[in-house]
Amino acid sequence: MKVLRDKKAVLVFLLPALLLYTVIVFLPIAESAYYSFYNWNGVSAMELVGLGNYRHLLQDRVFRQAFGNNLKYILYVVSVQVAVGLIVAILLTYVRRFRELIRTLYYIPSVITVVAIAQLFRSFYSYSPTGLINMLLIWLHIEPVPFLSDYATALFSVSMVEGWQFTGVYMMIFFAALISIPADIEESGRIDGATERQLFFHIKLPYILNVVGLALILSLVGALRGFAAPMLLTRGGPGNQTEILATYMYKKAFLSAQLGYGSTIAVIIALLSFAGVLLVNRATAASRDA
Amino acid sequence: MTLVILLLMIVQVYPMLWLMLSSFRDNIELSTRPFSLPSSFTLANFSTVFLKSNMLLYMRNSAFVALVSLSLIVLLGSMASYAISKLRFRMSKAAFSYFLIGLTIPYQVTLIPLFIMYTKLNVLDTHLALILPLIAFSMPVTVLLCVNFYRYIPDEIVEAAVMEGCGPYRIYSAIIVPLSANVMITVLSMSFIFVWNDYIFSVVFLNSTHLKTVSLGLQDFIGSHGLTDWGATFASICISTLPTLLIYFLLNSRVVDGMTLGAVKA
Repeated sequence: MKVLRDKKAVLVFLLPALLLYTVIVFLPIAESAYYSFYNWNGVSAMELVGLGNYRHLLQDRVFRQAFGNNLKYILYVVSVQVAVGLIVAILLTYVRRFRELIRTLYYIPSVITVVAIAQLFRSFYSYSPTGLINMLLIWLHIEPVPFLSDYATALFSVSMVEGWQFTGVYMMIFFAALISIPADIEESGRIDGATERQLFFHIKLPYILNVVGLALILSLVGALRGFAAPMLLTRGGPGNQTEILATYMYKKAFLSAQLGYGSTIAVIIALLSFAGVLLVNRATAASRDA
Repeated sequence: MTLVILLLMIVQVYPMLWLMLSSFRDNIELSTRPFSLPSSFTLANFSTVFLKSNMLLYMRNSAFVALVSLSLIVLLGSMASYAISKLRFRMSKAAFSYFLIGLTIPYQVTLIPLFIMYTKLNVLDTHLALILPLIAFSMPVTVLLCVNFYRYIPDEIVEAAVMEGCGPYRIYSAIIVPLSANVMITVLSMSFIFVWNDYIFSVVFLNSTHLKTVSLGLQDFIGSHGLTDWGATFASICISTLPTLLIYFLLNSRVVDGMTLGAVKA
């Protein structure tokens, strides 16, 4: 099929997408690395500082806090999304009536802009005037909590916006995997007298392990892209309690015009995401072999 | 167990319902009796949004950005996927993997370099500044979905077309495109939601009020001292999310399919 080996045709079809993708998505990683060796405010001449920005990072208390917060943020988001998603999916496999309706409704928050969801949560979390959640707490005779301004609760509260919003995505993924388990595998387990719990941990979970790995990666990547919720709800406050790498990078680069230093943070974000994806890949591969 | 499901449903669905109901409440009732059904359905919030805000303008901007982005996402994505799955060249597998890496790259990493590039090219504060990364970041998912779909188009069909004298361009337009309707609807519905909901590129690259997209516009009802007109905010959220909700309810399984990378085939 010589026609299909037409080199010019390959270029014509592949190049537009490939070029755009390379210039906009890929090249910036290399560019960030390049800019991270300079001090630059975007206007005056660039000043080469070598590893200066990285040395500065290590001593920057806000950066260290943002890094730690970011790991926590990811942990909270991923655990809520994967755990709740999995629980809802498992429960749904036992439900017969309204199953489709439940799935459809449950997914709705995932298609709404995060800005809207963040606004909604800002109103729910409100301490004064008393927001929905605090009204509920008062009704249950529990002290109201200033969710977004208390050091102890701010980061968790902010991470729940994204955690809550996309739970439906993971429910869908797990549900599809669970109902694709061949009935006879489950049946033979039942005949052998396995309880529902044993059935889940020894038969169903191993069967969908691939999907769990995929879900973990998706959730991790999603959490790493997190930015809007802390930006809109707390702008990193109170006292950097909800500062994550993305908000810190944004502030440095676009609010204080430190493009070089901002790029250094961007490099760390890129490294963190590669490390994360690799880790999840390894972990699922290992547990599959085990 | 029904109870647990009910509880989880309330946690996930009630806030949405509450949001819709609240857009019909006046602000006094919002702060005094937010749980009850609205005592009187007022349309005041919606009239505030339509008459006193720029929401319609923002929606027109988002619609424009979506129109341009979606057309190019579909065109570029399907062309590249055709090359990867049906044309024969040595690097086709590598090209596919290269696109897939993009799935794991956080948007934030690109912001500073794009900002610098835009400043040089004078496209900062234009819709183009938004459209470019929205298309580029849609390529990985689009290529993944399309290539997986095109693999189901038998090579025999393509080979038969070659026998009849079709060139690579004719095969794309006469065979691949007509057979793509299914996957294109998935790509379009998912990309629409992605593009319409964008916040990060809008907030970094747009400055002028007349260019703002809906995500930015939703902030308009927060006063300078953090005092928020909640009624109007909820109403504007309802209005601005209507297009995505509509698409979701019409093309339910396609949206889910796209947003889960096609992992879901139920």
